[in-house]
This record gives sequence, structure tokens and C-alpha cells, in this order.
Amino acid sequence: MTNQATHDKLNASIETIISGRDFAATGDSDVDVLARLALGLRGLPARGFKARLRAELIPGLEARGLSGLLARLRAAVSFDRGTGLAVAGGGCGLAAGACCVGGTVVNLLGFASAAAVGAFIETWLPYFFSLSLVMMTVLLFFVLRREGSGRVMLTRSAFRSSAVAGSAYGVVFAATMALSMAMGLY
Amino acid sequence: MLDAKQLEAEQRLVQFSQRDPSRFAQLYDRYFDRIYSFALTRTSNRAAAEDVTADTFRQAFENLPRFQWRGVPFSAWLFRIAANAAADYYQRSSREQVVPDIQVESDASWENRLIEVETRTHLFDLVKRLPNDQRRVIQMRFGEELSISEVARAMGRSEGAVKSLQHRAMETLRARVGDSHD
Repeated sequence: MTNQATHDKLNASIETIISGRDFAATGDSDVDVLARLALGLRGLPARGFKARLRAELIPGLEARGLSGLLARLRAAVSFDRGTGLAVAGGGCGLAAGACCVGGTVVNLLGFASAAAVGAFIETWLPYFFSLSLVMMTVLLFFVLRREGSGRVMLTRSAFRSSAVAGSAYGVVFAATMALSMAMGLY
Repeated sequence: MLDAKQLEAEQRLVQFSQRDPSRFAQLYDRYFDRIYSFALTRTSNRAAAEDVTADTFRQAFENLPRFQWRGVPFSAWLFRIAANAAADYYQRSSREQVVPDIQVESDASWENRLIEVETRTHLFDLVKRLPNDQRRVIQMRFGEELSISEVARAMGRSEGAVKSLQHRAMETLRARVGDSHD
């Protein structure tokens, strides 16, 4: 049998299956095996149905632009509370040491001398450090705002959150400083 | 079947979703195919399966804050909602026309149904992994229920070429189903 004839036979069986009837065996065992497999594909989800239903359930996720991107990121990243705090604290530490990391990269690429980068870090480090402290304060404010009421609970939570986020902050910031010192920039 | 570690991860995900509804998207993505397949085995009808799937996830989303973790997979709760949604669907439909009653199922038939659901979910998953052209043909034929000539027009190919692609796609699926059973 030619390939075309086999393709036609299978297509006829699939046509029967799609129309909701059970196919009758064609006598060609290869075609019949594929047709039986095709029975399991009847009702394959229509393209777009999953996305439409998801958009209806959780509208923010389908939004375009920055808000949609942030919503998708939030939905995709499942940190537990402690890990989330550590990552956020580490992020603030990285912000504090951004001038050290940035300066090191610029120096390594040969865009500026070690002396120029050192002067840059010395001038800008206090500003980056202050900015990171503001970021940490905002972070802790939002974390504690979600914690509910009760002075004892709030104090305990503030202590724990500050310890986790602060430790991560300290480690990352120290690493960025160590990097620039190791490179002889600061 | 989930092992203890996976069960623990799922419990965490459910708890996150209870606190932050946008996280429900992960549970939705994880279980959509299975719930849809379950609805399809219950109803044998695409439109009904879509209705039942939508009802299931709407109810799950609304009732998630009241969900209490009891150490069994989240999917067990979803399947129960889906079974009720399918029964409701038939009740609603039977007011408009005569439809066969859904039988109360024994544990054995539940087990068979779940095996059927897993088989179908696996097959749907294999379709997503087909080479691009083959996947498009299968999606248009079975998902959108287009005829060969409509698929050929949409892909800018001859009907013969589409039939050949369709055949190749089914051969690929057969090989991969075989591989996963080995």
C-alpha cells in the first residue's frame, strides 16, 4: 500500500473519531493501532481554554506591562516566609554594595583605573548604603503590616524578620565589600 | 502518587495560595490537565468538560481559604469538587433534556477512572512535546476539530502534506507512549 493510501485511511478513522463515533477497524493493523491511540485524543483541550479560564480566575496574571510581569513573578516564585525575607534582605545588601560590584566590573573591563573606581566607591558608598537602609525599612514595614495585630506578636515578628533579613543583608553587603577590597579598589 | 517530600511542598504551596490568591495559578497549572481529563471521562463531551472544569476551579478558588490540609494530596479535594460539578452539570442538563444519570461509583470504578484520567493526561502532555508542526496539526484536528482542508489552509500546505504530518505525529505519539510504558 502506498504511503498516501495509509495516510488517507488513518485520516478517515480520525475523522470518524472526531465526529464522536467509534471507528471501525480498517484491517490495516498499523492504522488501527494509531486510530485507537487517537481515541484518547478526542476532546483534547481547545487552544486558549486554559489561558481564558486562568485569566478569569486570577485576572492580574494576564495583565500586560509591569504589573502583569510582577503578578506572574509573584505567582511563579514560591518562597516560604523565611526564604523570602532572606532573599529580600540579600537584595538590599546587594543594593548597598552595588557601587562596589559595579566599580569592580568597570575596572575589570578596563573602562576605569583602580584609583578612579576607588574614589567613586568612597564618594558613593554612603548614598548606596543609606538607600539600602530605606529599602530594608520599607521591606520590614510591609512584612509587619501583613502580620496582623497584637503588640507581643508584632514585636516578636519584627525581631525575627529583622534578624533573618538583616543577616542576609550583612552577608551580601560584606561580600561586595570584600570583593572590592580583594581587587584593591577600596 | 506523591512522596512525603512532594506532599510537604504541596502543603506549602496550598498555604501560600491561601494567603496570596495569585499563587493559586501554580495549583491551577499543575492540576488543569488532570481535572479537564477527569471532566472529559465523566461527560464524554468537550463543552461539558469545559463547563465542569471551569466550575471546579471557580469553586476551588472561592473555597480555598476554608480548605484544611489533612495530609492527602490537594488533587483529592479537587477531584471531589469535580465529581460534584459533573453531577450538578447533569442535573442542570436533565432539566432541559433527557440525559443518562451519573451512577454512584464504587471504589473500584473510581480507581479505573483515575487510571483513565492519568492515561489521558499523559497523552495530552505528550502532544505538547511533539515537534512544532506535528503538534499544530494534532491541536487543530483534535483541539479545534478542524477538517483537513481547514488545517491545510491555516498552515499553508497541501492536504496531502497535512495528512502525512498527522500520520507522523501519531507515529511519534505511539513511540513515546511505548517509551513511557517501558
